[in-house]
Amino acid sequence: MSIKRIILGDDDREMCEEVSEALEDSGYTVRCVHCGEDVIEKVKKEKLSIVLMDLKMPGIGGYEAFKRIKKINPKIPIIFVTGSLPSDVEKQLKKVRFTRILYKPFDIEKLIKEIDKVSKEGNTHE
Amino acid sequence: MKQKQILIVEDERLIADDIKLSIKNLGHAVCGMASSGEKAIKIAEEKHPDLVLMDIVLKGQMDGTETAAIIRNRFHIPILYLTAYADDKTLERAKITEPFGYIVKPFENRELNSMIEIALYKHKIEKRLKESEEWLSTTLKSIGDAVIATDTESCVIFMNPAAQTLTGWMQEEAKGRTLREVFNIINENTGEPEDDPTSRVLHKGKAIRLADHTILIARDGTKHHIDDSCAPIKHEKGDIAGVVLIFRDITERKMLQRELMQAEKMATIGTMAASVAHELRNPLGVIKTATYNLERNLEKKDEKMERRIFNINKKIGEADKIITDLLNYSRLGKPTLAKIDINKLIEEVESRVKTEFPDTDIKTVKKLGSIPEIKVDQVQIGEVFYNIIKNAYEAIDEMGELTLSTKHIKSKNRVDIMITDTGCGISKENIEKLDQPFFSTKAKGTGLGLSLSFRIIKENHNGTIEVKSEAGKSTKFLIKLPALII
Repeated sequence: MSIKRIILGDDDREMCEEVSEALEDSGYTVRCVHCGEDVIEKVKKEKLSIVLMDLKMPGIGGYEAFKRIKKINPKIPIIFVTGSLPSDVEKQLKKVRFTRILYKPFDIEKLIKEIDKVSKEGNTHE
Repeated sequence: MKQKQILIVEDERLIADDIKLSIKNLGHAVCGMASSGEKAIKIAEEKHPDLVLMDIVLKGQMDGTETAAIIRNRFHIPILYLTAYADDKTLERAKITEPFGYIVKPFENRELNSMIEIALYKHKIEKRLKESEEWLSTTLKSIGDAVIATDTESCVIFMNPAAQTLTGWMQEEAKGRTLREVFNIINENTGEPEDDPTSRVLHKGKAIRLADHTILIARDGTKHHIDDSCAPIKHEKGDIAGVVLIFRDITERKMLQRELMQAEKMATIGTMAASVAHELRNPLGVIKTATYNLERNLEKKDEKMERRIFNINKKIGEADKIITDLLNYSRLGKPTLAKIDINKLIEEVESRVKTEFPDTDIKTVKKLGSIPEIKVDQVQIGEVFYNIIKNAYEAIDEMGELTLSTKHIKSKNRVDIMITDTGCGISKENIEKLDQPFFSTKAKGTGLGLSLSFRIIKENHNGTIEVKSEAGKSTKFLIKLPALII
């Protein structure tokens, strides 16, 4: 498996720590940021394979960041890892390509499966 | 003054002619002359005179007073008696017919004139009074609010139709009875009888309102929430003639208020639940991932340690279930309707629940009828079946019987689903609380499952759930769903 570069946006530091620990052990490179603006910065500057982020973050938050990222690079896969979503937002997101939602608490195995699936989708469209 | 038509009833021709002349001289017209009672009635009927001059003593079958009574009652024409005998007995007899005056023969023209004027005037006033009374009484009867009037002894003297309907007492039966008997009110909160409001009004001399939580118990025992005001009936001079009570049935309004309060409570819970759920899932997520990392890095297979990790994961799952239930409850989504085979769905759910209770010996009896596919939200109805069947399994506790039956009620275009268990049953007071969120008798229950089920059936599928239970014996859930064809 090729090394995949992941950006993880979550303002919960322990969350970032545990998830990157688990993912890095599985062969991913994880960069952690803690607000929506920083997620956008990383997407602009670095070559990333996938974005994982929470919906609720300081600053512009996950949803706004999602919209801006889609404008910069519509093909970058995004997985929301979040506690809950308002049902209208959930409906909206489910319609968008290369986008997934995973509710906390989640299985790391399940997250890895989702990452693989959504990356393949993105890559076949590249 | 307009010329009046007058009927003269006098059996002595000479006197009659004399009176006729006098009347003409006074400027009125004589529309007929009768020498007997029978004839007088006939003319009165044909010509409708404005006034009848009636001799008390008449020859023939009927005398003057009898004739006068008939003319008064049938045609409402004022009568003025003419008499030569002013003795008490004659006058007494005449009085019964409500005469408008007496003239003693022989009389002067001037005297006759003033008596005619007075009689006509009195008649006009009486007519007006009667019309006004009728108008008032019709108005009172037409009022949508209930009205009861009492005298100063708090005895009923009037009830309008709305009051009769609400109390269950007809005016004729209630008249003369004390208000307390007819207007039986209790306090909603204490169940204690309320004081008779009229005595307070009579005592204070001013209007009062009843407390907001007054319940009227009708004659047949039915209860109505009422809103009531009570005021003294005062004469112009200010003395009190009685009390008038005005009240209306506010049962429906109370129910709506209660529903509204429940909806507001739900909305608050919803907002709170959504934010709490979100906040709790974060730390739970960290615990779960941290546990995963811990497990992976265990140096050697350690059974004891694995058991600890298993327990942590199990509890994370349980905590997550509570949060999910709360979220689902607070934002019960609109149903996505699709044609579903209810029999198949309930069987699937039952076998799913069965796997969760491997150590029990529960026999499932299926009486699934031939029912049409109906339009429901499969996930939501599945959730309802799951909650009820799981409760049944928990209620049975080891050994017993679960019966699932379905039936198509063609006449009502409805599908009935019955889930019966031979478990511990539910007490009467708890049955009423089943649809309330957070009500649970189970140690682990959140009290959201059944409450959510009730909402799914009622709010999203226009159906009903009935629960019947015999404590210690059995519980029956009956779900009625409309069979939507469209």
